[in-house]
Amino acid sequence: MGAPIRSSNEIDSIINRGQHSIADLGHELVNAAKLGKDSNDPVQREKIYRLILLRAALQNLLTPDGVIKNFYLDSANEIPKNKVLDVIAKLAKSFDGTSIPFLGQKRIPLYFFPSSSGLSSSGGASGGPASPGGITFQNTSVDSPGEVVDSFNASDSEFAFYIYSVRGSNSGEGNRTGILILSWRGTDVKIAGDIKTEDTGSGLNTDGVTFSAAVNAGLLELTCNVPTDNWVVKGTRILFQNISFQNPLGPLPTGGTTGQLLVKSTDEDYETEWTDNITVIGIRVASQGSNNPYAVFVNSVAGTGNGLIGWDIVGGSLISGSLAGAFIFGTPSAKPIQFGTNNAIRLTIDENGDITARKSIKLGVGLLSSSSARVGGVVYSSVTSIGNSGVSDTTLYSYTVDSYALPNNGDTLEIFACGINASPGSNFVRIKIGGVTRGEIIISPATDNTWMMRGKLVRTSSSDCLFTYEARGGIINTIQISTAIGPTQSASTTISVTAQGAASNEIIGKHVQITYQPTISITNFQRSETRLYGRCCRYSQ
Amino acid sequence: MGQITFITEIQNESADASTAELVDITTGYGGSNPDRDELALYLKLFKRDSSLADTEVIVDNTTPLTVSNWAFNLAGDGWYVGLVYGFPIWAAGSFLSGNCVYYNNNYYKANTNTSGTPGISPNWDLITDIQSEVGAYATSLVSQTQTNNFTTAIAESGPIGDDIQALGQKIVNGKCRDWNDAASVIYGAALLESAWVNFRRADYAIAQEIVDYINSQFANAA
Repeated sequence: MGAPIRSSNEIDSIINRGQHSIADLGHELVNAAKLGKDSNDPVQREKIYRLILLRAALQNLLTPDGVIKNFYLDSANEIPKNKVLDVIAKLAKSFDGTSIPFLGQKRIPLYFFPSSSGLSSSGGASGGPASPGGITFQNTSVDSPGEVVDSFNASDSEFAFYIYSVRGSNSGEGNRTGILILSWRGTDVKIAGDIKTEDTGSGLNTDGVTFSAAVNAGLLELTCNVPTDNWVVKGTRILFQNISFQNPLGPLPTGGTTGQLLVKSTDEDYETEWTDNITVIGIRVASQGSNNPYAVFVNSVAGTGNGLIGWDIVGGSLISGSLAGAFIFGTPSAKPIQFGTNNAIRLTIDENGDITARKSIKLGVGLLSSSSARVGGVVYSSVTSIGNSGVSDTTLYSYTVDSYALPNNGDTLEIFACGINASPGSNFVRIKIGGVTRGEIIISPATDNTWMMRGKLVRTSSSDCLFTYEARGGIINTIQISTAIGPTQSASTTISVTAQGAASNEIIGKHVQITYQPTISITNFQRSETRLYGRCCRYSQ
Repeated sequence: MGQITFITEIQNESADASTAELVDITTGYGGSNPDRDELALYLKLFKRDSSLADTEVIVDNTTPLTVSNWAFNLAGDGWYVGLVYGFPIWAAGSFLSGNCVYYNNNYYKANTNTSGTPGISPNWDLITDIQSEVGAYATSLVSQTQTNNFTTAIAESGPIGDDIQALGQKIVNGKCRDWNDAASVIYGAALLESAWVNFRRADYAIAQEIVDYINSQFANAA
């Protein structure tokens, strides 16, 4: 073929000029575009096509690594090579510059990453979430010359995939299944495919059954054209830009009733079932029939519920004896319920139903004008008849109060004791706090043959209490008010009622009762305290 | 000790163009230069826009002895400036004042001639800010190279990718139904090529301008 028309240096120079022109043209085009130029501008258009053609010519001549392709190195192809070089030289015009290196010893190729490919599980930013499956359609009586069998908003997509079946109802008409693909832009709709099975049914056919599509009033309509009446057309439509074929959802299980939930039935992929009961991390949402929705907090996935909350519509369904229509919170087994605040248990209902409150209970909140009533109660009671023994001081009743039993200033223990004087004389009945006599009556012959003492032990600070008392049936001794006595916040105290006579059983205790009375707003209730215990109340004003 | 000019390149862009890797493709290890296993590499990566403003891109520098590529989140197409520092790995011996080393997950500079152990001997100062402190050091103390790197993954996966995808729908039996659409796609690809060539001839800011234009204006051209 003769000697090369161009030297290698000349060829390198032309390629080099082409590369520089691509660089410059791109920059010029972008700058012009920013100034409002587009392809309607002849200069801009000329540069666009020059850029395109230059790139095409260089790609034609060079490998991705920037060396001349073997085809053009073959001397038999000198002429086409020189034609390509001519194109590059002309399109590059007169520009020249230094050689442009390749990066990393190779040309950087143009990669193509489809923006909505393969991201079926989460969907790409422009593809939207994958929606496995498709939309089914059917028209069970398509009459000649044809009817719309499926329609949807044409703006939902620009392409669709159909799987269809047709079935004739008249003599000689058979069945077939096929596949269609549709593409549309605006009202321009193209339909292709119709890859179909042969007609089924011996001697039967589906001749004359075709499909067409059009956009009408914004709806993409698929029409089945038939030669006779009563064709059954069914199928599935997939707008396949959003379809995932990577992890298709398997068929749903059959059956199920309204309101039931789909849950995993085994650890195998896609194995599911319909159920009323769902266990999620120890919580089972269940219902009994359709009337008693409730949640059970279980101690294991398959374990027995230890706590439930729900609505017992019919009564007695969730917990034995529950009322119809009641909202139930409880334990169906022998378990306590506890309520806590501020990381401390405040109220306990044990498995036997006993209720324990760590502090006072308020009643009538919002009903009383300025405060609420606090609920106290009897903490100790005895009706055992006990007499004194000999001439010594005999403990008739005794009760130990825990430390912190009176947590608030004003909290009170009321001690009531009564009995009889079996043999009136110079006998003594005493109330002792912590073993120390704080109240004492002397029963003389002139007194009644019954006696009664009532004392109040009121907390005044975290370290001491005030004790006062009144009595009947005897002479109140001089000890009437005692301070700086227990129980304190840190120490327990024993409260006892004792008796001392000239002989055994001269004093008989019949009843003692200790009542806890929590404090309320002291300011609001001073007068009440005065009225009840006017003899010696510390709070009298 | 010889000095190495580090070479890096952006590779392995993810399909959704959210991440990529800056790969060490340095060819100068060994010979009169340190071997790779004699150096601890530390990378500072920046995204530089067309007005030359930098935004740091966080990379993982916790494996300096073995790292050969740094994963990072793509903060846009275009120009990524990498500052690659190569610290000799400390071993017992004598070091001159000013010598920098890597030892026990830290970087040190000798404040006097020393044979002490970095982190124990007071003769070593802990380097806390490599860019500000080491950047001023001589390359005889720490091999350091600014590398320029380029990617168009976002444009390719976004506007150009979408246009190519859309064009595919219009090619039936090998025939393109709309030459204008095809031309638009080819034009976008040609602009990407132009950006690359500008980058290769060191017109980094221009390359950045072109990919910015593609990403902001070229979408749905087809």
